[in-house]
Amino acid sequence: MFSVLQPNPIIVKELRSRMRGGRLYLILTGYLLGLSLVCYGILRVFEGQAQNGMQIISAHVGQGLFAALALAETLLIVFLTPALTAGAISTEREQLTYDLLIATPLRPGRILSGKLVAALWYVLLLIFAAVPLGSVVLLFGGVAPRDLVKALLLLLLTALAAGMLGLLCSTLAKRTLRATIMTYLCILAIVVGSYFYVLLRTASAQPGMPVTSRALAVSPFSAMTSIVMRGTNPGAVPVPAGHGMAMDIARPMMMFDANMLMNMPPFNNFTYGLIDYNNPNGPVVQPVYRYAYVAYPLFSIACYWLASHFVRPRRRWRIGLHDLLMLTLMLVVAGAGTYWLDMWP
Amino acid sequence: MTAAIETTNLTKRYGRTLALDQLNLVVQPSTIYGFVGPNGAGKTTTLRMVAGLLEPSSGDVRLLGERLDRDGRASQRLVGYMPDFFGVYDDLRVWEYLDFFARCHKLPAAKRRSTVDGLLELVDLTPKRDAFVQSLSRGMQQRLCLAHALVHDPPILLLDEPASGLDPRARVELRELLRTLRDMGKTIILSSHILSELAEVCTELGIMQGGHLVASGTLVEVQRQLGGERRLRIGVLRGLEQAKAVLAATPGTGPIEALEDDTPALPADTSTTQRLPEFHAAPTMLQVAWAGDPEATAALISRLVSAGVALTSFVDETNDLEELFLQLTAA
Repeated sequence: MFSVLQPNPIIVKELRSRMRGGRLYLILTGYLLGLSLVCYGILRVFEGQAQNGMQIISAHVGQGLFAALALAETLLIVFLTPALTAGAISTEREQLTYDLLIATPLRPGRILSGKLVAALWYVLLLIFAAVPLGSVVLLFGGVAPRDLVKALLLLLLTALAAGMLGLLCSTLAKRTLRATIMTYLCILAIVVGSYFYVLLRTASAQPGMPVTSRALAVSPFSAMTSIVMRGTNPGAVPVPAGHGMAMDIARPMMMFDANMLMNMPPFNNFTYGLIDYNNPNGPVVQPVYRYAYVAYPLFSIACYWLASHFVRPRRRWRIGLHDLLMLTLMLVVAGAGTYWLDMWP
Repeated sequence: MTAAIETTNLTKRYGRTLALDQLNLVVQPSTIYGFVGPNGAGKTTTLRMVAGLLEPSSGDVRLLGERLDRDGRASQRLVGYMPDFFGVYDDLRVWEYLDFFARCHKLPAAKRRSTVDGLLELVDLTPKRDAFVQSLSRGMQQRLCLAHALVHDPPILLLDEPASGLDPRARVELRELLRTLRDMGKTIILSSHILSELAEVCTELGIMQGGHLVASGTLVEVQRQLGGERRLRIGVLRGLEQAKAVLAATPGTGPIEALEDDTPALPADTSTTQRLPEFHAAPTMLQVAWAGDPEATAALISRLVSAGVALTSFVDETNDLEELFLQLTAA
């Protein structure tokens, strides 16, 4: 019974090797310095605008910092997490320790969760280390603490989904290089593919017709942008019936606004929310990040489910209790998520 | 007595390739069983299936009477496995490496430390306890890998080519270690290409060829099964006729053959005074097929000496395993 309470051996091993030496401290220092430079750059831009006679209020600075930091961290999470997980299983195969590992009583699920937690631990350290820096925006105002929490939650879910994707690719590929390439191609397909899909739909739509797509929700940048927009335009929720992309009505374009980052491609094509015309109370906007909150855990569970089969040395596709649990979990998340999104009739 | 390992019609196919064909193997407890065979004979496939890492296409594996379940849990508990090509976690210290596997086998915290220390002592790596694994020599890493296989104190050890890449001293040390483990009551199956080593350390042997177990048993039994024969090579200085008579009268001997004298021929014009004494004193070598056990061999030597035969050498050529192996694999 006590063995259950013992920490996952994989986590212990991974943390012992990952956290050893000065490498982590160097990365952490470089990461925080980089984010600090981003903040400093934003402040300098506002300073320059103020010197040019533009009217800058403190809230604009806070909103600008929030947008820049949130998107910079999203970029970092999206591209760093797969690098940490894509080699999780394939490296074991490459360095010929896989057989040693699977010959122990460790269950495949425990191997996977250990690998994931160890990799995410690293990412979480980076995310939480940046929280004090992110809280600087509160000093300037313009952003509600609730929006900071939303951004943090989205970062965590993004890290989980990206990590799971890396882990799945790692169980599929025999070589780490192939697993890493596979993971990044999937991420590019999700991020860039969804963006161009929405662009194409917008371009091919008849003028005046509403064009929104839930495909936007799969991109973490789109989801994060919707939080940032919400933070900068807290009142911009109502949608007139039959209007086009929510972005156009949710956010006034002001070049001097803190949203100047949002006016640049590709962010200027993202939307705050998707219009739900089926709502009994009339059309409402569902913010994109809400879809992401549901989609990312579902995606993570699906990746974990597949990976737990691929990591097995034998009887890979034998269905067991584990599969029933996974299916139940997915149904519960999907059910609760769609209810939360008002998708139920 | 329950066999440590018993396979029944164990078969493994990779697509159309038959890697192992209906293997029926019985290994008794506390034996060191050696697997011999050319590459692709099915040795590693067998070991991996017994270790629960590979699913048989058909057939059963029983470990100490317990049938290997679908998930291979019995093997995880009862077997310590050391693969032929293994890696180590370079960025861990030696004790951390063993501690990791001890955790994997759910050893309680209180027992882990003593287990790790005991194993380091057993494989003679205590002085390297805090060294990084990557700094160990190949032989030390081999011993560390063996220690990892012992971390949960399994009654059965499967060692795939444990001596490959080791220098002669490390091989001798490994051999001693295997004997120690056998004395501790472990059943060991090992595969090797170094036949003489297997013959020295193994109590039983199995010869595999093309997915079949061609022969299995003690060395003598295997030789008999393969049609190989033991030979005695006897150097006789004086009393050649008596020696032949004793040999002919001894049960278990075959035809006696006098080997050609390999002393260099002297020129015809060499005078007697020029001949060196050692040329005259060269013994005659007799070769005879022999099927006696060690007791019979000792009795034969005694009878030869009693008959007044002056012996210069007496060699029981029992380890012609390599020759048999080569014949077999050439076929």
